[in-house]
Amino acid sequence: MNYKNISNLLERYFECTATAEEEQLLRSYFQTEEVAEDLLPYKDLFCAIQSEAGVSLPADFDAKLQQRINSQKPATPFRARIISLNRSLSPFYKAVASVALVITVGVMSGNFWSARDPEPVEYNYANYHDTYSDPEIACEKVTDVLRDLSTALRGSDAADTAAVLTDAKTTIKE
Amino acid sequence: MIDFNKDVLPLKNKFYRLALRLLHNDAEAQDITQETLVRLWTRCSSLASASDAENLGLTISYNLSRDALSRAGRNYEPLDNIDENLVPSNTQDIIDTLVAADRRTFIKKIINNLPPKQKTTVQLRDIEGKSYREIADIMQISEEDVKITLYRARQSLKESCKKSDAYEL
Repeated sequence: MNYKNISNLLERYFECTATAEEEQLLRSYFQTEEVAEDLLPYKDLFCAIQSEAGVSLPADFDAKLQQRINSQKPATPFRARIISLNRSLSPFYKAVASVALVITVGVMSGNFWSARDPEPVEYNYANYHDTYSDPEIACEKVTDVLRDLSTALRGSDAADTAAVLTDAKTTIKE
Repeated sequence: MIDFNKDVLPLKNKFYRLALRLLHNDAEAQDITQETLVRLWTRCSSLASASDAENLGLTISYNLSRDALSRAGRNYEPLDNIDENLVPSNTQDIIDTLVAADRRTFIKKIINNLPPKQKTTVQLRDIEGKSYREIADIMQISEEDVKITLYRARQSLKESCKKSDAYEL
């Protein structure tokens, strides 16, 4: 290949318009000893690039890689297992049973506490205490009660009942 | 479906070189390569060809390296300790050899000091021989962006070649 062609190719190489084959041709040219004087500065560029293609990993690399790959392999192979529908739903059943148990206990304890009578009936008269502090109001209440009582006593004479009531009122006031 | 040991494992150096190009750290680049290969191992059944595995692996390596860069809060840093055998076997004169080695070391430093996107395009195109379409897929950018980025990278390299010649490095 003549100088003009090489010079032209080199120019196209630096302009990035040379094809892969043309670049390979240039590399081959600069590997030879017969390089034109004014192209010599570029010989070192192509030789340097060529020598870079020979850079390789150390010999112990493969062993390290194999060790790493072996450590990533699972110790036992995975086996496919057929799981029945009941078994695959067992977590769901367990969840339902737990919720049902909690609700049952909650409802039962709620009923137990609400069923208890907060105020038991007191039958011991000694423990009674006054309901009204004003005697006038107390008298009114008693009168009402007695009036109701008299209404209830059918067959009695109304005038007699009124007399009894008046007497009772007097007695209470005293 | 592809075979991991036969189709994927031989690609490890490509993933490693890309990570190393971006991170400039051998241990980190090895970790990223390992992670890339483990991820490919888990996806082996869904990959149709070794070429798919290669492009996916380069994408993973690129993304992991970029994540590592952003985590460390560093963009790019110069690599000073390049310890590769740069001595060409066909050069007789020891002085010429040393001068040539120095110049190549200088060029490697220039490549490493390019911004991450630029040096990724150089790595994928010039070193791994990828097409523009593949590079665009790996870097998740458009083909036009790939060409523009590579153009800038090559222009920087061209200038560096001229400079190194002028200084007679």
